[in-house]
Amino acid sequence: MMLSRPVHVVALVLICLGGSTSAASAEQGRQSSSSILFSDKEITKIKRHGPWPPPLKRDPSNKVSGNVGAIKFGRALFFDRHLSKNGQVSCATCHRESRGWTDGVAISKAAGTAVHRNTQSLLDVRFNRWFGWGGQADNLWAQSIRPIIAPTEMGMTARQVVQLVRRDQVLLKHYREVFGGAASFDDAEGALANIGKALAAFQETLVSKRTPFDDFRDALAARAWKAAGRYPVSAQRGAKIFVGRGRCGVCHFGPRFTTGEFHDAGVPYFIARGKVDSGRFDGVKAVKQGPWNLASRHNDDPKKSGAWASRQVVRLHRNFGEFRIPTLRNLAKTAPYMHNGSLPTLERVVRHYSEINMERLHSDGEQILKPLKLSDGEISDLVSFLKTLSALN
Amino acid sequence: MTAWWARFGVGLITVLLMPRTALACELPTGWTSMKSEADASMRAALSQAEASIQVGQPFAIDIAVCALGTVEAIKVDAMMPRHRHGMNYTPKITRVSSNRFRADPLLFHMPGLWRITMKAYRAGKPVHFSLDMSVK
Ligand code: HEC
Ligand code: HEC
Repeated sequence: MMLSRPVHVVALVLICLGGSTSAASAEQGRQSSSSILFSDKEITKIKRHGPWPPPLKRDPSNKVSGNVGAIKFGRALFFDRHLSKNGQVSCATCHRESRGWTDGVAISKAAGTAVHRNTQSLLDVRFNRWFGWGGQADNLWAQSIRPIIAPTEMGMTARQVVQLVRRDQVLLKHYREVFGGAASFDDAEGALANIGKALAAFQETLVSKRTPFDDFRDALAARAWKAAGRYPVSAQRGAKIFVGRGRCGVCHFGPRFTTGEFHDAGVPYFIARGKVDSGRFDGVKAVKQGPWNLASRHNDDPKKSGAWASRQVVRLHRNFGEFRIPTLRNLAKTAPYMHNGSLPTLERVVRHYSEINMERLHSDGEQILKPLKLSDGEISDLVSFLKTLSALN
Repeated sequence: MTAWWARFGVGLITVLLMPRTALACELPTGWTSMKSEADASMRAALSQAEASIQVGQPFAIDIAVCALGTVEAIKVDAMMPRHRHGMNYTPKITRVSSNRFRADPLLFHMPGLWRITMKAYRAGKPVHFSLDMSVK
């Protein structure tokens, strides 16, 4: 026990050795702060947020995952406004590429009536286990069907969708090419599953690019201190808070900065007077009953390998007001933040954690979230760090 | 009437021999023993090594139970003792053989200290076991 201390001190590493010029210029001459010390423990934690990108595996539940024709068909569907009742709304109305496949507004009114949640990014969506803020779907194709038939989004019925594909020569040709000439339209639920699968194949191509953080992380992993020193010094300080005192990495874990599970982060979940968004609580119910879940006949994997999740997940009282821990990649383009889009900037998000209202959180044991009481300098360091989780361009 | 020393002697010998002679099986080597408040009449061990568990990834565990008497069933759960919250999933238990069970899936959705708990039912009454694991 006593011995480990000196070893630990020796293991401290001067990151900015030799990199101090670029680090210093990034900091506009704040030379004194250009050498950040990282302990082995911190380096281990930072390393866990990579490597990027993760291996790309095809989705066994979707027979057309990775299929070139399906990707083309999915793309055509994604941008097609005919897929909505009023002919005005396509997936791309809310998921715009220029905004990291979100829409830039807190709550979308694109379809006339407001939905009650912030539009999620579609980048890296292929890596999810659960979909939607409440995890109401356990696969990408089911989640892609949802907006088409949601009254507050595209408002179609299953029959109308099938009619559209049958009557539109271009869509019909795509459909026949991908799912075979004999594919029947009699089973509307099955036809809709196919449409979801084509949409999923397209969305699987949306994988986010490498970021300045990834270069820093790889340099640390390779113990290439000079290369690591090119990473902005304020972001280095922010990284220390993120993996250390801030305990952000407990939930924003791994290469995607999310465990993929659900938590209450103290964001109010009132939608309107007397109406709440129960988040994961309703999500569990929805996924278990979902006609297109992985336990259903529409799963193309004969082993139904992903079905365990919706079968074994339990609906707990604490799920009330829990939302899926979002990825922190691509934040630069996906403002506003949180499930209800209530925080317009990253600074506001960090201030939220700095001053978090404990009365809003329901948890008995040792709190993971506590008011961090960060200084203004620390807040801007953490924000600098978060900004490096997006690709430059 | 047996003399007190004879009764004591027989009792002592029984206690000394019990773990070896009374338990109908031996726990597999290389498995980790689970802790229990129980007497020597029941022991349990778990197959899964701590190092192979990944945050957010489902895994299965095999549990061996050796007991005096019959174990009818077991229940498996896990929680984070410091945060006092459990798992989001319930594992399905299957009996592999007379003294082996499989719990699938367990999923540790956060890094930190987790406690796997197991109740083994004998004559309808649970004997509690636990094992702490730290996942990074
Ligand atoms: C009216 C705006 C709107 C339209 C139109 C829309 N979406 Fe969304 N999308 C959202 C919102 C809001 C969410 C979050 C939903 C929730 O949590 O309930 C979301 C979530 C998603 C997700 C889940 C992402 C994740 O990380 O889990 C996918 C996938 C998705 N949409 C695909 C689509 C597809 C495909 C279409 C077209 C068929 C579409 N969306 C049309 C607003 C929209
Ligand atoms: C207890 C788990 C937990 C911890 C710890 C945590 N977060 Fe979060 N984070 C969440 C959840 C859950 C949400 C979504 C909350 C909601 O919308 O209701 C979230 C949302 C966010 C968002 C918004 C992302 C988006 O796309 O909307 C950012 C940014 C963020 N967290 C950063 C941080 C930082 C920085 C820290 C450390 C100071 C931190 N988080 C600590 C669980 C956590």
